[in-house]
Amino acid sequence: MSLVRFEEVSKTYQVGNVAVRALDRVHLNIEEGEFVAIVGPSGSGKSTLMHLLGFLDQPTSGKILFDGKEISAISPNERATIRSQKIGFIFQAFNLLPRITVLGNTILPLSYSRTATAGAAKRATEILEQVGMKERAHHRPNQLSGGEKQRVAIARALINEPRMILADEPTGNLDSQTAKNIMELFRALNEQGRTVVLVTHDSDVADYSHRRIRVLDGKVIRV
Amino acid sequence: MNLLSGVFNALAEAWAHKLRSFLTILCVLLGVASLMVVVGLLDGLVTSWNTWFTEFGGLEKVSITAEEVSEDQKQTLFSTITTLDAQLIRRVCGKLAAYVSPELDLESVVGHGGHITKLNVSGVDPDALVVNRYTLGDGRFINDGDNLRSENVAVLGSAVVDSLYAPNEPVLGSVVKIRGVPFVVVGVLKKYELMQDGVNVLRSKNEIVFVPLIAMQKRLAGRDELNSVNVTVDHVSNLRRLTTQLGNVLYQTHRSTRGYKITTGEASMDVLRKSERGYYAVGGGVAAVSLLVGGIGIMNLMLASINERVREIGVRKAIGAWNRDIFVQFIAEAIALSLVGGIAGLACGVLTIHFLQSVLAASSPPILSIWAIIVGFSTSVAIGVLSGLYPAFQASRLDPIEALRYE
Repeated sequence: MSLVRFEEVSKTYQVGNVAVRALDRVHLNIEEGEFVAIVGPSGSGKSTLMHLLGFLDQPTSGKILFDGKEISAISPNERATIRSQKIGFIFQAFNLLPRITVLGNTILPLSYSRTATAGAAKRATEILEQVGMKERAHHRPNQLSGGEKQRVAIARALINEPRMILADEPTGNLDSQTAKNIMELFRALNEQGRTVVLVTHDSDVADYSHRRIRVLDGKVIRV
Repeated sequence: MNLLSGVFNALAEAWAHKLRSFLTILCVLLGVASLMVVVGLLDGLVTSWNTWFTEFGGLEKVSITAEEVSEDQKQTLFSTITTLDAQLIRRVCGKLAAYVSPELDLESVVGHGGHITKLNVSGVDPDALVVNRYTLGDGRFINDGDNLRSENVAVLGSAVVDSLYAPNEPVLGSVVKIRGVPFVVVGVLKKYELMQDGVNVLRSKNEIVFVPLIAMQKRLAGRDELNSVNVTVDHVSNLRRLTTQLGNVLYQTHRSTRGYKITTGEASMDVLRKSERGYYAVGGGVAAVSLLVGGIGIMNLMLASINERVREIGVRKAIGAWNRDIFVQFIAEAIALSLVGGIAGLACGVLTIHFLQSVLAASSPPILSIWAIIVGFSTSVAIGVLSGLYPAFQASRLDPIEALRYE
């Protein structure tokens, strides 16, 4: 069964008096357990697609189904709840909170999950071990290298057991060797059965995926 | 995220910007401390005013004094207050006039054991003690028997004892000479002290000698008329009715001549209350301005802090924070800052008040009232909430996509 399904999805932005169509009647299907790369040049609508996939935004028209349920027009708080429970975000700039420890950053999503969070610290430690950061649990982000920061960000994305990991240029700020290690980690996560969606313009990174979705001028041209 | 963990996060955030937070906290601290000190000083001042007012008879006391008729009418009209007035007041106004004190004062030289002092000697009835708010320190006061038997007895104020007697010298039973006439001391009054600007404003209460009215009239003054009749009303609410009744009695005894004056504490009370309100308005205004400065400081800090943390807000929203969570996070920061400032301000306020109490002991020292503490503390929290509302609202409304893109 498809995890995410886009039907005739369009997104229009109003820039001054001009309406800009960032996505134009897109059809898309992502299966459970897939490893997908969304590629395309900048300005292609790639970011808009990612925002819709990550429930940061809602489409102007069309239907989005997640897990078979239509969730196109819902309130910002409902979208926040879906993000917290179903999506794990990973950003190019890592976006760890500088004032709290690695462990605190990893646990952070639980404080917004509105469910019981017993054993949070134990669970976070397990996940940090899984990404190879257990030893650094009590360090602050500024004591870590780029690769280590991204590992912590991955741990943070995993803490809520999301249905889909959504990574936006996850290796954009890393050197090639570190990037390779991070991509191996994504591959490992996918092999454990997790759905991974990458947004990238780096074809080496996209090579790790099983399937590419190419976006150009607001249209998905190859699925 | 709840408010409590929000406050802890906020303290960590404040710690990361020590100087900036310190300056903001200092603004709140000064506001709260100045509010407390101003309120304390005013409370101290008002309390000593009220004490002074009460000690000289309070609102219950009505004074009847003679008012001179004009020079060319003195041949036919008289303007004296007499014992008859007092007796008639007792009889006719007895329901409302709880105590009636006819008084005849005479500036006299009082001597004992080689020392002399010149002061006011007052011939009175037993009621004078209550009407003029005196308390006995030792012995007894003038009683009805003294007047009936026209005894030469005297009750001394504490200042008189201090100037005429050696320390530890027995006072009760000793003899003082008033204008050369011997009087046996039967009582000593309590010592009154209320310092204002280094002066004991109740000093005149200590510089007094009471003798029976009859003895004063017969042996010292040699005349029967009185200086005044002081009356205590049974209840303040009856004050107007009593003054009307007194007016009626005196109108009768004075054969329709307005040779008397009835004064109550109401006028001075009004002046006191008006100045009290004025002082509180000015003092409160100054303190409110400094608290406002504190509030502006917090709002400024919050806006700067939010501006620096737009991306953090974006991340928090991306991983599931509701608008409400962001709002609570930032309002908690504002409250935490103002709480720290408020508690430090309370401490500084208490210390300052203690310091002023020792420095201004000879004047009117400030009072540390629980009320000032409650007001100081709650205003600091209120400042936190109010000045945090707008920044927190702004932060909570940020669009996560825009916020994540923010450099």
